[in-house]
Amino acid sequence: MGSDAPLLTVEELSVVFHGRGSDEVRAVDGVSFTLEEGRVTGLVGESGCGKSVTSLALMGLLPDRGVRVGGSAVMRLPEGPVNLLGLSARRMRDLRGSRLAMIFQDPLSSLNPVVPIGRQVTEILRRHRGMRGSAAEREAADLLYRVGIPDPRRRLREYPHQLSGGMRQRALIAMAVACRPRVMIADEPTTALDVTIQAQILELLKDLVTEEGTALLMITHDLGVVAGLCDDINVLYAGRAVERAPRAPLFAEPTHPYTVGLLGSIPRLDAPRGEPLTPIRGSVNDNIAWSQGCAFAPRCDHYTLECLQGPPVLAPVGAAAGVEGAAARTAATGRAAAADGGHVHRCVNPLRAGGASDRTAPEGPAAVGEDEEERG
Amino acid sequence: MLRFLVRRLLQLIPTLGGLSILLFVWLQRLPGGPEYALLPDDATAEQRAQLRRSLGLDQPITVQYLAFLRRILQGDLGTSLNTGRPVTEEFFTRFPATFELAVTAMLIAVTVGVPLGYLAARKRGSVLDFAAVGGSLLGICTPVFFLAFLLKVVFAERLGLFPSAFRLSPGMSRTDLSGFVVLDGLRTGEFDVVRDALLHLALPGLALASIPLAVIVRMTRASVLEVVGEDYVRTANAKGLHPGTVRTRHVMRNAMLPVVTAIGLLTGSLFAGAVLTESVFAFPGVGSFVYAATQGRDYPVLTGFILLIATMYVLINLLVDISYSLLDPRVRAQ
Repeated sequence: MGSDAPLLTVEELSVVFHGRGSDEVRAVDGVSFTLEEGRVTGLVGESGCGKSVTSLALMGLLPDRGVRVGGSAVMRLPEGPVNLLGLSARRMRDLRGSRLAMIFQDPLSSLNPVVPIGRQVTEILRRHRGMRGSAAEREAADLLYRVGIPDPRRRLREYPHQLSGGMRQRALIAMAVACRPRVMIADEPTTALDVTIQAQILELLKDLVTEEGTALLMITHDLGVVAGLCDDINVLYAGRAVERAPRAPLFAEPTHPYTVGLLGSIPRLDAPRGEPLTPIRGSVNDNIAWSQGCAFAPRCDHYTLECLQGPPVLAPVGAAAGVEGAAARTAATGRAAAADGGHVHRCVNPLRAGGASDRTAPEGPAAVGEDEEERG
Repeated sequence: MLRFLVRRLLQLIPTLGGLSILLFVWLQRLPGGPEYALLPDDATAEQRAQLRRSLGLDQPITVQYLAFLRRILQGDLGTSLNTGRPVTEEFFTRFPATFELAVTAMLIAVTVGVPLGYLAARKRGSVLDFAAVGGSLLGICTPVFFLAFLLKVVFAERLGLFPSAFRLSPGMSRTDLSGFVVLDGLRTGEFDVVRDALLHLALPGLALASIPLAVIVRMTRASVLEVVGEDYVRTANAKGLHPGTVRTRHVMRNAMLPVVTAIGLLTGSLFAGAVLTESVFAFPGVGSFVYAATQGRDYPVLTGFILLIATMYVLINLLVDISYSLLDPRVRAQ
């Protein structure tokens, strides 16, 4: 692996939708993360937290009108770094599919129903690798074979409706990897598939990352996928990262009540029979604006008055947390936090390490007290 | 594909059979039979009854129907009461003119309507979009005979840009191979005939095109709006394909599916719509002949015309189904 600088550095990415006559919606509100060669970075959160919008913004696939994108996303290319968000439509088209590829959620609706699979694979080879005729067809068959589609020659002539769900997703992956992209974004690639196929697809993605050194951005709400695949994890809530950590600390010592809640709402096979799941109460609709305080506070079992004093900042775990003040926010973003083993959170009243198991235990108030003291 | 074709052709039999029954019953129920049309108003009841007998109208209804069916299958649609010539023959000599007119109208409607609908969708909310949507509403609302008349008065009589009547200018000589003026002209190299024929087709073609054009603009617009939001269009863009490729292969190939169905149905209705247009422009096709037939209660001609139109509809529908199965692999599979 050449340089150790990140392949893609996203800083303070924001996406605001401003439809005609309707209020502005901040779907993504200052998200920062990096993608590195051969590593899988996860964006985790429930529906509506801004995961997919983030990926579409990076791909330049958001609509032209009614959307404002801010921040930067600098990609390291052989010819020098470029900010994806500032590229012309033409330059972006050249990068899309060749350096930067995406795998979508629903493989059936993501494939054109009236065009043979082969054509849908060869068109990208034709566009970016200049391949024509039988050479393109041979390569397409090769690609399908590599992603585990048996009898690829025959499949090339078939249409999406003739393939099974898993095959379709494999075909989409074949298209995504056709030009050996450096950065790949997978937006819930397994959501529409049944469990056994999910595992196969994840295995395939993992192999592609290790073999090709691709940087993969994995967007999911499935913590099982995260545990099995992601090296670094960003937990998103209401358009902002609320916790970021490498996989091990995140699962071992989650500190943000939202992360803890997500982990607590996974059904476990080894849980005692009859034990109820502990879902996070309410829905994303119950949010308050970040400018007023922690957006998660209305759904949080641990919130204190201090949570409503202003926007909390992203700070290293263990360090003094607080609400947004002078330069606190920028100082605490990604790079600064790397020194602390990369575990950061955005919470004024975090759960202690290991708090996952006793989330509902009456330790909450005690934790509040400790935090207050630390700060004082 | 062959099996599909054979099955669809077999399905035509019950369709057309049912149609013949409907048509026959409808004719039976019509007030004022041929004895009123053929005989002077002061004819006696005895004279009318005698005519009914001679036409076989006193036979049991099933016998009449079978006789009716047999004649149709033999290509005998009876004799025109107005001209005294066989209806089939009258249609045969006039059909090429109507066919050319209908094709002209459809070509105008498709070549203008599809791109306009696409542009209106892509520039949604723009002046062009409003103009296209508003204009098509106007097109649907305006009666064809009124539009035909308006075009004739303005462009033919006032401005003198186009001829106001007939298929060819008087005195234009041509070699008649098939009755299709434009085709014959192209084959024999008589390009002055082609030019003259096209000028004569322009105004009636435009008038006849108004409704199909309006429908095609709206259908294309709605369909494109739906398709551009589809996931596979996003996939195509994510591949970095050129906008032209995305437009033709991914957007239009899908967006045209419902439009093709509409085009089929509209083509059928063109032959019916030709009745009014042709009569305004004195265009010597089936339409103006039928228009005259309605004036004179020429039942054999009317029956034949309905049968002709219905058959056209059914055949065009067959063509639509075939083209649909070529365009959409999901239909082929069934």
